[in-house]
Amino acid sequence: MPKASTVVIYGTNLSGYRIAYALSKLGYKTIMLNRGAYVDEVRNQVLTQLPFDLCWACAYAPQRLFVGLGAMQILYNSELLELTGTAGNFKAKVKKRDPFVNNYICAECEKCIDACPVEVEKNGKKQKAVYVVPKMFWENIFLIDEENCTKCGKCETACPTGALKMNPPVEEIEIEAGAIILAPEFDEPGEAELAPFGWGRIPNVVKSSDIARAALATNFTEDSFRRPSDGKLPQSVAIIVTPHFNEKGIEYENYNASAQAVYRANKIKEMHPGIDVFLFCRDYKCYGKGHCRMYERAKDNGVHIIRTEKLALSVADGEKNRISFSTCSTKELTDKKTVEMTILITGQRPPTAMKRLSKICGIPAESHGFCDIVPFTCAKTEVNGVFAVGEFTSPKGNPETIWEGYGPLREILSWLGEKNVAKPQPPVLRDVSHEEAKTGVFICSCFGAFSDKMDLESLVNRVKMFPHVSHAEIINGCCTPSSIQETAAKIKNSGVNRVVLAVCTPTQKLMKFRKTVMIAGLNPLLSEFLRLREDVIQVHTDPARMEDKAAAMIYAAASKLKTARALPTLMDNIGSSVLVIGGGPAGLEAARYLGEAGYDVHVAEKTDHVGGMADILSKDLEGHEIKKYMAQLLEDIEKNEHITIHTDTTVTDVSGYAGNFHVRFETKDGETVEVDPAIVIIATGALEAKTDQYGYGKDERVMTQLEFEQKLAEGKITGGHVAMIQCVGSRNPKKPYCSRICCSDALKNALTLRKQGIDVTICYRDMNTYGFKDDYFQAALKDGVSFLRFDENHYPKLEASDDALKIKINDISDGKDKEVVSDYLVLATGMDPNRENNEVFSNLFNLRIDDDGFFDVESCACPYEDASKRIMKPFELSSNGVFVVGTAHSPRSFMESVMMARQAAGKAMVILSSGKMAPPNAMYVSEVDTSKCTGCGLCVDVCPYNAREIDPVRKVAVVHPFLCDSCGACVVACPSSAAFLRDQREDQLIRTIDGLLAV
Amino acid sequence: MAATNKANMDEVGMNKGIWVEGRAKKKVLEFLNGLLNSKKLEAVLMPATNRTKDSYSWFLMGKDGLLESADPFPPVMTTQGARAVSYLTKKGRAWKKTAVLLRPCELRATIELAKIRQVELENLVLISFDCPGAYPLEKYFNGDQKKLDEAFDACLSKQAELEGARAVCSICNRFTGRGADIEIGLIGGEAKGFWLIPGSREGEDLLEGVTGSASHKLEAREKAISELRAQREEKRKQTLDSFQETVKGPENLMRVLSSCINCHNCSRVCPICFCRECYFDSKALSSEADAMLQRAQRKNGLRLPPDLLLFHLGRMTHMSISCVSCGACEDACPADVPVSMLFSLAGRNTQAVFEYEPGRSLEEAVPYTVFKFEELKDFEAPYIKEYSKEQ
Amino acid sequence: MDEKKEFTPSIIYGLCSWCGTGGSETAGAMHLQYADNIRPFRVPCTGAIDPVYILRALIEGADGFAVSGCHPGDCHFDSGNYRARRRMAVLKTLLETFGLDSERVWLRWVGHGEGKRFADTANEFNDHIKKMGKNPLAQRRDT
Repeated sequence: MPKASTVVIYGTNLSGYRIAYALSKLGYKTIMLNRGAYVDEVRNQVLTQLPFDLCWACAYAPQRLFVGLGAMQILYNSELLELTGTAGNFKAKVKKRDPFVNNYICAECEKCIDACPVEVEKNGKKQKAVYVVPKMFWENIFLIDEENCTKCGKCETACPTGALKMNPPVEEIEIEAGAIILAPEFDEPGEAELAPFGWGRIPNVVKSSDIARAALATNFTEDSFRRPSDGKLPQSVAIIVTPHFNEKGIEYENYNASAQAVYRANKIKEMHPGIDVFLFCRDYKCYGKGHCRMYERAKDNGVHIIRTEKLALSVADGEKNRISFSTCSTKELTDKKTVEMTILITGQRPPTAMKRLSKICGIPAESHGFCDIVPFTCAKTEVNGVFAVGEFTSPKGNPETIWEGYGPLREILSWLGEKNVAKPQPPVLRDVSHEEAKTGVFICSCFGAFSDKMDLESLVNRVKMFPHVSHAEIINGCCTPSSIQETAAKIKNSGVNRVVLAVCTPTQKLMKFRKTVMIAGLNPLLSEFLRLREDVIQVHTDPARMEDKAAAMIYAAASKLKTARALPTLMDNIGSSVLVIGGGPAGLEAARYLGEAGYDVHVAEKTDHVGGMADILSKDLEGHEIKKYMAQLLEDIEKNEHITIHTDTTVTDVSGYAGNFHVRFETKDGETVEVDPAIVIIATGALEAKTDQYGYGKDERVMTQLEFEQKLAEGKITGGHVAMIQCVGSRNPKKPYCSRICCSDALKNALTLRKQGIDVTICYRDMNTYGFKDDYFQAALKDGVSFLRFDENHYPKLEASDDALKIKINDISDGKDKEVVSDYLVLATGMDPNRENNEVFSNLFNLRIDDDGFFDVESCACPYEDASKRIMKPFELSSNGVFVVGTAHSPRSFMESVMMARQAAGKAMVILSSGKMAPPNAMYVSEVDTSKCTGCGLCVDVCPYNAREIDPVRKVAVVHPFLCDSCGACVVACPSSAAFLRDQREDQLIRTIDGLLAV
Repeated sequence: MAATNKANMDEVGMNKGIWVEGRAKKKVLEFLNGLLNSKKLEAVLMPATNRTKDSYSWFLMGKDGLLESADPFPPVMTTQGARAVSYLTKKGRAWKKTAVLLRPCELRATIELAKIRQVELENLVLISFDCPGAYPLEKYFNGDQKKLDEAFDACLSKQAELEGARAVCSICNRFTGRGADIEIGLIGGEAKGFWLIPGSREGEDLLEGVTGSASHKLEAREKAISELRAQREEKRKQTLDSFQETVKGPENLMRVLSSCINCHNCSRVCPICFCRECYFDSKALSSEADAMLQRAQRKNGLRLPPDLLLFHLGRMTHMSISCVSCGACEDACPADVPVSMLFSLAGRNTQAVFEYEPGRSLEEAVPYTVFKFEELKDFEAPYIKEYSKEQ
Repeated sequence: MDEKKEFTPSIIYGLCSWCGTGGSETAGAMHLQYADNIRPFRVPCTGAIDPVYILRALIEGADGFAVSGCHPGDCHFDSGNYRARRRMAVLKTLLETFGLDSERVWLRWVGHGEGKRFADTANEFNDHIKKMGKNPLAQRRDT
């Protein structure tokens, strides 16, 4: 039986969207099961996490784009009922109910609202039984309030496009799918789970995610943190990281709970320095890039960070919150702070969807109730062909979730049949270059809705008199299949070669408008789309002045179009091979991924062998067998004919650009190798940091965690007492980052030692055990590992004698001075960036190095942390085609490094698959008038996409079209209009301004 | 890379000046000739008198003819030196070591152009000197040149006010050659001699072997410079402030600009205006008769050729941030528009926004190419919440 | 009001295609009313607004020019708004230098969901320009 090619995505988390995007690009159809009634009803974590207070509209872009192209289908109010068959040939039985209003046909004329006889009060505002939720990620959602709807049917009759169905039936359908992706949204703790913090019960306690949601539309302003009780600005705020204090097993700390708390605190403090901000956490878990710097900034801002073992909330003076806490786990809650408002930073609950999905798909949950994933894979469950991604599989942050969408691609593809999405053939366009400009203005009546608000006939007559208009008429619409055809025919019949469509927003309907113009045989560069609805109809009332404004907009557009030029979409070739620099685990994993997908991969390794740091490690904290994995990896690499390993190499020269690099490297024997990779993956790793503190290097009993682990593995530690000091030389202003792995390594080794009956004391500042790693901290406590906690300003002191190592420490958990007598002292020195290496590649590939010495996120195509917004854009190359993975990017654990490598490889695969690539905005790109260009490079300096460079021979700027997102930065940077946007040439903008002033 | 890389005019020189006795003009030429003879230099780009000896042009020269016609300190600026350097290296670096003799404002413009790839500094040795100012071209060409030359020479080392200098010269506050690879220090030399002061490693190398006495008087020179600078800065501030009063407001500004004949000479001679075709000469501003008629209707008339004010203000938005106040524009103006003062004023104010000084250092990025996350809040209009109550 | 015919300023509102436009669209979806004498001028990004366009408008008939786009940190193109702010700072400084009413130019960030902020800004700017009166520069034939 041939394999099915469609993929069912259950849920709408960011990872699911990414997979849908990638599969569409690769030519496969996806069907997304949205459990909600509209795009965002069931919310994923996009708004609740860093980087927040950002516009995330692009995150939903795949939906808007690919549904239109037929590559994606969304089923609303849907649920997976049954899954039968096996991988490659699943049959998914699905229940769905179409939304009341089909968003892709709806013209948004609002006639349904006008027709609705029911009006009720909702939140102090009058609202019809059919109403619109404006701007859910660019879309206006029309909904029916079923409670108050009388089912009179007037709305359905009034709907001119047939988009509204008052009683869409609940349907059951069966889908044949090659693979199933489980991508349900995360679950936030609710009232019951947050009982200790009084949310929903005590006034003026709010969740940070509520603030984030409100701030989505407005950015974080002072309005975003008003006291719910009286709307006043609170003068004191408590921020509590709830997973630190909640009962174990209820909620789990994800990527950035601690960081989010500090972020919020900083935002408040920087807006209103006068407000007292108290931040309560147990530990500041700051393992993400830049998180430690946020902490330093919070201290500078005067945020009171209180590390406490337990706390409780109560009501004080009616509307205030009292936080009682104790910094010592054995003491009563004697310390108290009274604040005017409390913000809760919550974690993630185990997914509620798990049980059902477990039953339907046969996939097991792991011990915390999240979906279990096969180790060393991205998203593979125990059932072949069923994948689980994003917040469904563990507490996770946005960056991880987004990238995870790329990780399992290759495995998903292995279960799919032939491609089942073909790119639509664009219509043939007329060559109008020799014709005199003839502009037609087509004014939309929105099926009669606009004509109710203003006199369109009068507007048409007026417009006809304009100097640059040769034709004007009213159209019904330009957004439903039939109205698109009608309008295209009208354009054709009128004989014009420039088109002004006075319609509604291209933000939603751009594709439809472009399509209309193209069906009429014209290049979209010869058209202008005006928002008659948003700019005139909906926001003004005086018909005469509305006409003036519409006329001015039309005048300007027609005048602008007079000098418009039709130009084709530029395509550029994309190579098909990849260069991986660095033969450590991350580099090799990326190489295997792409090699097995059939792409030629070159691995350039500096030393004489591949494998990197992994030689030393045998298991990680979770007990994953690293040695075994590495052996398999090396074997796979060895036998893969697409992968070529070059050892003893030095990269000497890089030229070209994303998709078409040319790289030269030399081997030890002086041999030169030249490759032309489309994508470069940098996996050059990091170094174990060294220290001169605590007698390291002089006293053999003092060693780093990695050295100790080796000794332990060799069986050289057999007895005595082991003391460990965490955060040696890091998380301070000089080295303000957390190396992420040290706490886990300390726990791992401590647990091993305890098994052998060896006493262990861990001196730490913050226990950076994120996600499920916290279990091991609890286990270590139980196993009798002694934990002593010191303050960042009072590190333990060492008194070494020949007999013993005496460590003196002030334990802040009970305030007592303590002394540990030990035989070994293990220092968590963490990771250092490989500065020398990084600088070399920074120069060769024009990548920025961040303040800590790792590769900067913005400058590489792997913006894992704060720049994840960028990768949500619906195009492949939002950057320069160089992916930095593993510890060259930032400190990561072994597992995280190799997963990151797979994810980057998955993304690389999407790029490589295309062979040829068009600009993200088709024919709308920036260009260079070489007769004017003097090669000053100002445009190159300001281009955020590395889409421009100066041709070293001709000394003029060149544009790599598929990297250009047509933002126009180059146009302004260029003083002589040698740089221009095809749809906004230098004279056209002046004409527009003149035109706007003309009426 | 060029030596000027590291040079910054705000840094005090390397304090290693070599004192050379004698007439500066002659000695400097001898010094250059020496370097050419010893092959430390292959060519020199500097002003020299024309055949008629009544004006100066830029010449790229070897040792032949250098001593006869070249003049390191010409009394006028016929072509802005940075433009000459740009002609030389725009299409690639100088093939061999070439010294360039520049006025301080030409030096700054050169640095500015290097930032935007219109000058390639590699293999160039930039030499500059304490400039007393320059005469307006018209004055020099039509005046008693001999007398003017004498007066200029007299000012060279004394740094007395050069009588009849161009307006921008008399308020110049960056009058030394600091920032060059070699600075010719005239101030403080009291006409007895001058210093050759290296501003970079490159300059130091070239000065190796030049005999002269120790730099015992450099402190005196520094003192004289800072006194003069303080004076000039004050004068600059006052002059520009009071000039601003005369051009403020549409009425005043248009009065000053009214004589402009739209020849755009000012942009053609400007060293910073490096465009091959000026935006304001391009088709961007060409419009049809109907548009012009409409404009005329709105404004009760339209001056033709149009876009006089747009040209001047627009050009200021493009380049005032890099304006080095060299005065070339005003020299080129046939209609006596005080262009150099207008641009100096504009430049002073726009540069202050970013604490930017054009040509100060190669390391300082042109403000349009960079930004800070937290800055310029004063230029944002703060949102008055609840401006209009919920409708 | 019993005064003679009220002055209706001519205003152009420069909007980026993302947040600025998004703000205007949200205002539309929410049916928020604002001054109808404001003409939208759309560009991909505030960073794509050359001050020359603003000068053109002010010289050729506009009484005011407002610019809105994504808040800092939220630019669709990463950094266009920071660059726009630099250009606007230069323009406003020049207008100030020559006494040409730098307050006729406003830069205010508006997020895509901030319909109210958009409408408020349009109304507030309109009132502000009304108070300033006609733009003298736009009335001159000698420019």
